Amino acid sequence: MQTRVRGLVGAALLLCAFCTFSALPVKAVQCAIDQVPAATLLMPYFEVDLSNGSNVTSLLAMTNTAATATLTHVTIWTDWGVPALGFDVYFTGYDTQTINLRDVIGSGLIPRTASVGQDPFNTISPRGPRSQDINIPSCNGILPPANLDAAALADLKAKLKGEPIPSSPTLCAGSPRGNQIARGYVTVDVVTGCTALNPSSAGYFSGIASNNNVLVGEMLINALGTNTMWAYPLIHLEAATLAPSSPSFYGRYVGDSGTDGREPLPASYATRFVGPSPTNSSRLLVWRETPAMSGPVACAGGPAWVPLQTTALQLLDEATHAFPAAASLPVAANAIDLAADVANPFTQGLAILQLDHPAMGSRHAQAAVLAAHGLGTLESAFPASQLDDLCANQRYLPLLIDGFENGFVPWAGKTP
Amino acid sequence: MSAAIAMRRALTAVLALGLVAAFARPAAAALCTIDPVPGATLLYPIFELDLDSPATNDTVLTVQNVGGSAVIAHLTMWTDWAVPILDLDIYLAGFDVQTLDMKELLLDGMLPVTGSAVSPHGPLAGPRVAFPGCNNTTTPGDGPVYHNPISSQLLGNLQLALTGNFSPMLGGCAGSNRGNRVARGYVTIDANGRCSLLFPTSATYFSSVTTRRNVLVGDLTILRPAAAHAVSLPAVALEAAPEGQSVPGNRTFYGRYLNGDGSDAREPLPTIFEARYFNGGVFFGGGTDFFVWRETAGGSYGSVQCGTNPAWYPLATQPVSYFNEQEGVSDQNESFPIALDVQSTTSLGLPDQFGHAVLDLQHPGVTPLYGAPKAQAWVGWLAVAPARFAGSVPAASFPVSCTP
Repeated sequence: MQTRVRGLVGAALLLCAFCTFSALPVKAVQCAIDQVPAATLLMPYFEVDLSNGSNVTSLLAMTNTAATATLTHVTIWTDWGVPALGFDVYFTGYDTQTINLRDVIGSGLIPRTASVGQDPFNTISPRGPRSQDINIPSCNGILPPANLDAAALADLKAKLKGEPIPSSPTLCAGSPRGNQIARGYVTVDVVTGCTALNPSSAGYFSGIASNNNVLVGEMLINALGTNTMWAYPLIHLEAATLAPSSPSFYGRYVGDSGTDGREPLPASYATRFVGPSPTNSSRLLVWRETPAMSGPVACAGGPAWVPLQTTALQLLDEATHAFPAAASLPVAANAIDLAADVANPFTQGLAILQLDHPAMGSRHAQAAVLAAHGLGTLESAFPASQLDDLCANQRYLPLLIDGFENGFVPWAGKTP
Repeated sequence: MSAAIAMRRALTAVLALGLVAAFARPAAAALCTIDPVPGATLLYPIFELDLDSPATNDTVLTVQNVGGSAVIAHLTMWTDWAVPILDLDIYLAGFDVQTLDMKELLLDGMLPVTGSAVSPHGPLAGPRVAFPGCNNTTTPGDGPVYHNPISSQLLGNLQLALTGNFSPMLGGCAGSNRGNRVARGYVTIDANGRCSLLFPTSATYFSSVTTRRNVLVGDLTILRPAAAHAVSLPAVALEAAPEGQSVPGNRTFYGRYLNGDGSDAREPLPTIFEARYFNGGVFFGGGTDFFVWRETAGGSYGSVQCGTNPAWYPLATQPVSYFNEQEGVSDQNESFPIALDVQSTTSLGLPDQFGHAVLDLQHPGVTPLYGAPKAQAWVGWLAVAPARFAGSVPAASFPVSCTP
């Protein structure tokens, strides 16, 4: 048996450990989507079934890894990439915030936080012994936030369900799906002050957004009624001052100038799949970059870029048979079942997704992919592997050519 | 036969490590970041198998070649004391996938049968490649066309080693004895250019058989049907520097077996991690398990006399800071003393139900190797809602610094 030493440690040891931790250099390494403190967190997909509280909901948990307090701006986007709701969340040092999107979208409850100026007695945002608490004057009158009133909540639900917006009945903000499931994605940015702007707003990245890489986080997609939970890391996007015209995550909102400073995501992914079989199945959650939209559009037409062009998924079984499966991933936040939504001739194997599309003009489109497997009555989940690097414009095929693979033949759709 | 030989080699795994001079050159831009991209080495930081009840606790590994031409995936199984006890080669055609169920491996004694002459090659899989050192026939025997099942003697010794019991083949104990029949360890898979019976601890392994082809991705799934949950984790993909280049500072993943010369060229892992914990509340009565993999260094990499510990034992552990959701903090002296440790918050005596933990897994054993106190580690967490569900995520880390 291994021995375990527990108990309180001496003050000197405590101090030493703390010094080691707090002195960590947090150095951004651009172009690698690693799970390290970042200035933006992306939750690439969420679902909240508004018809039943036991059905699926999505949670994001975020931690400020620094002793210094920080302010963040949360934006909930529709599956058309329309900002549907934004609010500020203040973190004292080492603070953790967990947001159940059912609380926000279902009930209009906005997380209550406040800097010391709005919360002088630390009753809203507690301050720990190692936590800095600061005053952010721009948050006066904004933090702690008010919850959504009935009209705003109705608008929010409609936007995320793809229904006409009650306050503007001819306008829609998301794809109509004809159910009670709110769907979209979430970004969380480190910011310098409370703001009514969002990443699609002019000026957001010239004074509001910060390049302070301090956030880490996870996301859970959970259905209590069916006892399922999928857990993933949030996607951590480090920020730095980029050279002009560098590829960047929010490039679509800054004229591809690189001024947002956030590292870009890849376009190609690989992930294992199981099923389709009577007991096993795989579902992919896919975020795709879409052209900038700052607000709703006429329901009758929808965005001009819908549907996004989708290259056939390359499915390979464990005997390396290949099958190009036609798929539809038409919007920014998509879920696709590799049994029900595509013709999949295999029982398990490897799926390769090349998610670039021409709607971003002359540059490549970013994407993110999460996988979830049904294994009989069990569920498991993990993020897909990235195959290219749009920061360095290393596309999938060049990335893998290492000399050994000279003569590599590019994809050619062939059936087994 | 090959696996048996490999097992026996564990007896002599304590070989003097050759000193291979390395010449530092600029590294590729994406090195030293543990991002989920194809790597030249995959670390599966944990597997478990209940030898008495595999239906209640089993682990399935998968490895995928996302390159268009074949590669030899060399699998090494390590105990929780970082003793290599089994290695085998897997021939992966282009875009090939191989699934390895620990039950089949460690209870049924079935090794994956692959090879240039036996593995299917689909239309995208590239040409068949007769790798040197491999059994390139269809006749079972040497790897990767293994004769199955492996001998009961070898199988028994693997089971003994992975449960911390005396292994006659090893002549001692190679892992911690946890008082149960749950086999536990970790696995590495390297992208190689030939078949071999070498462990990564072998002096000539990185100069003779490995490649720097970043083409492997993988994952592991822990299956616990009786507990109503399964969780998956991505294999940790370690990119290799391009040929002719080095990892900055020559601090590399396998550096401990190379006297820190960096010749494996695999990017290193971080040292400090931030992990969420759930320890009660409405759902998470099962608490959170921390999976902690740590780099060992110093002394041998073979078995030791049962009842004693490896020379490096225990790995020093800095106090763990447990923050609650009100930013209160409790520093506790924890011990993660071995290469692979699993500890539950239910036994750690945490004062709070929810929060995050900061684990600084530095230990001084590596300092002579790297000239700096930067021990490598990996942390994952598994939160359990008993009889309902569970979720598992790799812990966030602080950026790797490759330079001394």
